[in-house]
Amino acid sequence: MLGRTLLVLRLVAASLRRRPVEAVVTVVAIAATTTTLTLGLALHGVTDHPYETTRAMTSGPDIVVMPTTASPASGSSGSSGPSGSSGPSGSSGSSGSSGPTISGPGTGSGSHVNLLASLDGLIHAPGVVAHSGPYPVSYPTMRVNGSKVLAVAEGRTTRGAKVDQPYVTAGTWVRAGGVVIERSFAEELNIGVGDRVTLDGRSFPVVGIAVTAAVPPYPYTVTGVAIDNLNNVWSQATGLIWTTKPIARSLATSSVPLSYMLNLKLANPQHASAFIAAHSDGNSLYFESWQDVRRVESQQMLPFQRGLLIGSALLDLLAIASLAVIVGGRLAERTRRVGLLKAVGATPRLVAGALLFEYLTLALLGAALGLLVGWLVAPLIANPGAGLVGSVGAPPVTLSDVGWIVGLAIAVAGLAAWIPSVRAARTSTTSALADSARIPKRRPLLIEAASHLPMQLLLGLRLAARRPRRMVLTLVSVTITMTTIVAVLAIHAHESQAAPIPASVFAIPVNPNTRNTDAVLLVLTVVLVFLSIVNAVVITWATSVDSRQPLGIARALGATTRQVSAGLSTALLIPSLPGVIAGIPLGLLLVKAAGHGSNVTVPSALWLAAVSVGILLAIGGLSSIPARIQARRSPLDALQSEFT
Amino acid sequence: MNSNGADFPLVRARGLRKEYGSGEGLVRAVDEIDLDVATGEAVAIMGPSGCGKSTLLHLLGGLDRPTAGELWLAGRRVEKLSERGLAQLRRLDVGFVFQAFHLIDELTAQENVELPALLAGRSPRQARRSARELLEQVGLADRADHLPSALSGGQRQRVAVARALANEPKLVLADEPTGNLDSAATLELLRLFDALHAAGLTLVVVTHDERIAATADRMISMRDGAFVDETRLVGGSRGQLGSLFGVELEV
Amino acid sequence: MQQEVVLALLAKEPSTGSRLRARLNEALGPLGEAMNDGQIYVNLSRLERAGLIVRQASGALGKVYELTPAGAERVAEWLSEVSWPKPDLAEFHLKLVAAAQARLADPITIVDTQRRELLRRLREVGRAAMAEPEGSHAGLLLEGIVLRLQADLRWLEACEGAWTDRRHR
Repeated sequence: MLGRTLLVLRLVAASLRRRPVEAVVTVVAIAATTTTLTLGLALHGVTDHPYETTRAMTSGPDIVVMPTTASPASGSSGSSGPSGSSGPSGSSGSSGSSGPTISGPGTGSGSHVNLLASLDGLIHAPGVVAHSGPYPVSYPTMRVNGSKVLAVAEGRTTRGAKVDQPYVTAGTWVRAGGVVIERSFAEELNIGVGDRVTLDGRSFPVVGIAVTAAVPPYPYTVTGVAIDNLNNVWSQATGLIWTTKPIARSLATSSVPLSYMLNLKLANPQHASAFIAAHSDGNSLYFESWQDVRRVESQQMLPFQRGLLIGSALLDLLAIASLAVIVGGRLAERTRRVGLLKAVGATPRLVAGALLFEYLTLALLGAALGLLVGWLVAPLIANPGAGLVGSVGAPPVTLSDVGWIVGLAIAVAGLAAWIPSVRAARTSTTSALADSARIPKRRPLLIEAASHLPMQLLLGLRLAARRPRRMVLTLVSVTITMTTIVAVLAIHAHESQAAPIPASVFAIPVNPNTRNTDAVLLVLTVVLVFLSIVNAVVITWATSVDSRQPLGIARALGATTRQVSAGLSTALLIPSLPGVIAGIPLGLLLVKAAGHGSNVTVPSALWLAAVSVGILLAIGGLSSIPARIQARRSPLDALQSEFT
Repeated sequence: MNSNGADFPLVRARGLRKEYGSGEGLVRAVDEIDLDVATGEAVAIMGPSGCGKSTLLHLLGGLDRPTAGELWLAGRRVEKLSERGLAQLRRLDVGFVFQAFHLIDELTAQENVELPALLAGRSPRQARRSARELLEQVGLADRADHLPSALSGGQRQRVAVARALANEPKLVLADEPTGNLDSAATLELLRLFDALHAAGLTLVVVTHDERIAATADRMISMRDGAFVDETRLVGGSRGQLGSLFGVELEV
Repeated sequence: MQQEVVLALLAKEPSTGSRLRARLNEALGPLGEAMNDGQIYVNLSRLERAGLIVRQASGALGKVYELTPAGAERVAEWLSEVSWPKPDLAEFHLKLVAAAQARLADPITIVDTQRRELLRRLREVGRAAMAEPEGSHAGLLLEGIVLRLQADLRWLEACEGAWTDRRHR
């Protein structure tokens, strides 16, 4: 047993030593695949429940209640108040998807006491298990970094609240004299901790940045705005800030009087709508359920999620392509080696064991590498947007992800070892040793048609035609790579075209989340293109390994380096060309299928042409590298390596 | 040896050396070899395996570069050629026949034979026609469309010979051409070589098979990278066959 | 070669001396050229005297011989024999030993000279074999001689190696 283990170890070591470059490429390819998978799994975690995560971490309320009638002004004369109305979140009945609805809180003439009394009644309503507030809310105009925006200032205590305690992502929670700013609002205005903001002419230090699940993030933050004229089309985004209660009260003006905000927690959060229906008496109170907020959030996240959906589909496809190349790439060589081992008396089980162990070593190494890279890259693309907690604090790669990935690596190793073992076990030892191409039943048309082509093309075509499996593999890989790039191009084209159209949800001139999506898409694009390149390298490598013997012979017969590399390039480009062409419609179809709507934006022909030519040039260029490496060695090496 | 004046030998080597490794592990595979091969001559180089005869052959054919020494082929200095020049030399001036045949598995017999002609820039039609003729010459016209795997060892080697002849080389170098062949296939190949030699081809064969060596004009013995003996073989016109091996009945 | 060869050739059919001669030539090729007609007739008359063959009525081409039952029995016996010529290497071996011990000559020189001679013979037989058409009986005989010469040459190589070692000791 010990002797056999030693033998297996020796075989593996010899094999790795003999072909170090191939071992490295296999590791890189498996690493790329596992990186892909890591990212895919991490994306699933983020896109599934970013709002729920935030809600759980901030003890988000089930219902936020605001009076629609503001209290009489108690402060000084204010600045110009808001001239608009509510955001898209609307009350419980609004659709919220077709654009801003004018159903938000309005102005009224009720008394301060009445307001508080009606809110107090809700606190004691059946079904309510917890609450915070009512907190005073005012609407100062905020000036910072040269911009002027409408802010919603909520007065809080410096202690935490049981319900809706915003999660501080930077700095601290509200302190006397200081304000905390909602994250997407802060990001849009480029505000950091330590900056100063001016509220109705008074300057305050920013002590923290936080996120909340109680209201949608900027620019959809809607709070009971006391507005002069409800019929004015709302044209200004509002952002949320938290401060102390005295400051909030002091910022109320006669034109925009003080309002309140009450957070309720229900025994059963699913009963939020029913609760609202039971307690909304006319127009005096404005309710917002957690489902309303989630809907706005998810609408905001939609393009982002679509991008991720397409991205992860493409990542999966690329992973499949890489695996196919890895498993299929070394088959011929492996089969020959299995024959050799059998010839010297190794049992099929020993041979399979040695192969399995070799692949397992490479696969686990690759998986570890891939996990590491994936773990480093995942936070970059798994950022769910500034308004939500998302990845903060939550590791994007979980233990079960690691399990999946290691399992996949083992499966790849098993498959890569199993196929040649079975094949070699079925074939006789001698024919496994020979492992030459089979007798052609007929002369392929391809070869007939090629007899007028230049020599390099002819050689490449003949090599390609006699290795149909390799050709199919290359075709598939290139198709997937092209599909990926076209899809990314189409999304970018769609985004850049869609941005200026004002009719959608994104009617707001500045939407930080669109920009966020762009950044994520950029990272995703870089990752995809990188993996595509890895794929192209793997394909080229596998083909050049296969072609080592024929090209070595060609050199011994006097082929120049250029002729050899041109032959190899041709053998690769023949299946690549249809792959590139097929990738264009497939990429567009994929974007369409992933829900980017029926109006898929076709990237400009110039771009498509540039990418097609680029891919073909890259494959052609890459293929000349192994040929050049081979050219530096004596042609004898290639001939002799056949027998070692 | 034909080294005077106008009759400059086709191959001339002076002080040819090839070393591998360094320091303690230095191996002189070819050690200061002088060799002349006249046009039309058939030379056999014999020696035990590892004596450096294959390395010498690779040097002569431009498959490898010597560490030191001078080498002329058809009046051209070979060891100074660029990689490109060496490729051209292998393509046009030299034909190789290997022990392991080294046919391209994916190409048919015909396509293998076409290869050097195509590499040399001849038109596919020309290449095809000359490949047909060559296969005819080696007696394999009916196997032209077979892949190497469907051919016997002897047939593969004849395809390899046809391929070596594709560009009408000045010199054919054969490295243990019968090493993988049985005695009947060996005889076939010898007949082929003999016919080619009779037609004026210059041949250098490296072998440890005395039978092939005996068909050459000159036999050189090699030991440890150096020539140790040279025999000019003459006769062979059956003159003494009867007296040496003739069968007689007991009387 | 024993007279049974002639006897066995008659087993196919009754034949004249000249027919037998032709059949021998076909089977032996160039190696049969050394044989003269007289040897055949001497053999036939000897076999006739021994009662192994009997002469039929003379035909137009000469005397026709056929096997007697005793002859047929002798042929069957001969076919079942497994005798084989002894390899005759002892003489050369002793030549080397004697030369070395008496310091009369260098054994390696002797081996070398001998090898040249064998190579010359190999060349001749090899050429003769190449000249034979494919599948001829004579070609097979020549092939056998080639292989034996190769074996001898290989032995000479071993001799050279061994005597070289001994000289260095």
